[in-house]
Amino acid sequence: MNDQTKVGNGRSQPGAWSFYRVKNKIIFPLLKHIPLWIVVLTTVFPIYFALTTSLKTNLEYSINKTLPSASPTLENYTQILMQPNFYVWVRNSAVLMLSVAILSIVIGALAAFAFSQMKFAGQNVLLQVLLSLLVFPTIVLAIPLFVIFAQLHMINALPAVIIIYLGVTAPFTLFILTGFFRTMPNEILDAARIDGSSKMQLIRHILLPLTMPALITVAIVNANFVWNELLIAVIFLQGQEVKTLMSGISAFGRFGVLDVPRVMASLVLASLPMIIIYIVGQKSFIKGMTAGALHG
Amino acid sequence: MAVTGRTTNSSQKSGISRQVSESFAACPFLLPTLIVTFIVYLYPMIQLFVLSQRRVVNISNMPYVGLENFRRLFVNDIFPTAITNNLKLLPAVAILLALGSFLAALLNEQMRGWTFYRAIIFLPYILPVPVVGIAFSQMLTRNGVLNTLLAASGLSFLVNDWLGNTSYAIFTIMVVITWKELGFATMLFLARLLSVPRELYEAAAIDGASWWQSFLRISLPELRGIAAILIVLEVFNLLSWVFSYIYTMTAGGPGYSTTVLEFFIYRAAFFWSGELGLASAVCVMLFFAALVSIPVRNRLGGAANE
Repeated sequence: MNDQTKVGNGRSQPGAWSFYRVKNKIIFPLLKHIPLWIVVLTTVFPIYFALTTSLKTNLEYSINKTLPSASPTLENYTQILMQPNFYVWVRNSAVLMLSVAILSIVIGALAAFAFSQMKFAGQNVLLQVLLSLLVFPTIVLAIPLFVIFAQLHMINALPAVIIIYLGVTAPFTLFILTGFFRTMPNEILDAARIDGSSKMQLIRHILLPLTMPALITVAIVNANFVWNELLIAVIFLQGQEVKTLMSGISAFGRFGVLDVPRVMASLVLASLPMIIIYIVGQKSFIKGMTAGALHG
Repeated sequence: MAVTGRTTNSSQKSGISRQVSESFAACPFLLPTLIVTFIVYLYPMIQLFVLSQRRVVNISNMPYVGLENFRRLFVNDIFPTAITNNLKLLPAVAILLALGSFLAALLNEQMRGWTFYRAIIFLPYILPVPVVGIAFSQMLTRNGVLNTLLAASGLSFLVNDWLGNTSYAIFTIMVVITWKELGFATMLFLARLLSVPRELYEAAAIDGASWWQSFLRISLPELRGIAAILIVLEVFNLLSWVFSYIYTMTAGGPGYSTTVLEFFIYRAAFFWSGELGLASAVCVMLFFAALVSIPVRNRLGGAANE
């Protein structure tokens, strides 16, 4: 096909290995791979570095920073997994992540149902106001919330942070779910109404199964947000027994411990849940993450 | 909006009484969201304005000082530095636009292995920001792996304390953010380009257009709408969502060379004795900046739905 177009242009040469043929069919396509490979290598290198370094002893790292270990060891991982602190951090992060992922879609689905399937005074204004809340940076909320929760003696309390995360994720949750619920066909809902189903049954038996993909996407994005969140976690959960994984390992940064291989092992462990979710649910994950950019 | 057309569905009551009864019916559905929004947004925002006019000795001793915090902010040396540091991150947006659109245009040709490239390029975006920050902070130290590689490849003159130098540290952070966000930009652009009819490119090729010509004349114009969305999202991120990078990589240092606005607020509120009111004053200004930006975001929301 390419040849024909070139004949049409009068640029083609008759020989099978003419200059144009080599240039257009071999060199040019290869050229296009070069920038992609440069990007792939710079993307992969830090990940490669973290993985290979996590399998080295500190001694080996001091003399070999770039090549994979000559004698890989899981020592760093076992050392981390033997630390009781690490379990506490993982447990706290998991509790926050699961509570927020589940509760956010429950309260979000209820509100999204009202906004998409019911009619009430001030509906559009209220929805606009709620969706607009996502422009406010977390730090703006964190300062007064700290004072409020300090006065209530709720610093270092996981429930307080669950409430904050539910608020921070609410505009995004509402945005996605309202959009989805509006695409529900009217006929199904009408049929359910004629049957005399209550609105709760409507949600349970019709809306929820139909909107499962959207709910899972939102739950994944919110879980991801909570697992990775640092600002709220650092301010509101300072005690050793309530720290999250991210705030716990952040002490391993620039001014922290000097055992780089062990730090890298902890980073690999901390990224695992999200990488597993990425592999299992790649499609809804990418869709959710790109939509999730709306809430930062 | 989609709400219209529902009126005919329900039982035949008169319009107003139906609307009133439905308003009551909607309440239990809305209540959880409204309660959470009140606790996390509305009440704190009111408190924020109160706090910005207080000197916070401790949480039970906060004397009223009027606009004193705002006055002190304007004579504070670090405050303008913090704003400048945020602005120094903005070149990342230009890099993301240029590189992202270029990579997306390459991937759009769906050459051999393009799904592999796509998966790899997206990878950094799924990694937790603190993990990325900690990993890079260890790679970029004076005896870190980057300097080792540079020295080994005969580029010793480039060896640097990447995060420990007051003039470069903020740009190093900008590059790390770009590394993390590039996959997202590429993915957004690629999704748009994949929906452009193939015939456009084929017709251009038949007319003898070079790759660059099709990129500039076909791909780039198609990307205009999504690029506007990306610009606004990334400007928002760089001005108000970079706390995790700073916290894990430099803690605002060396000196105040990487103290961005968020970190200035955090330090003032929790580390400078009695300055939570000052931090609140900055938050009030950030609040108004965010408020003013709502129409921009809403217009983009409209563009995104097209």
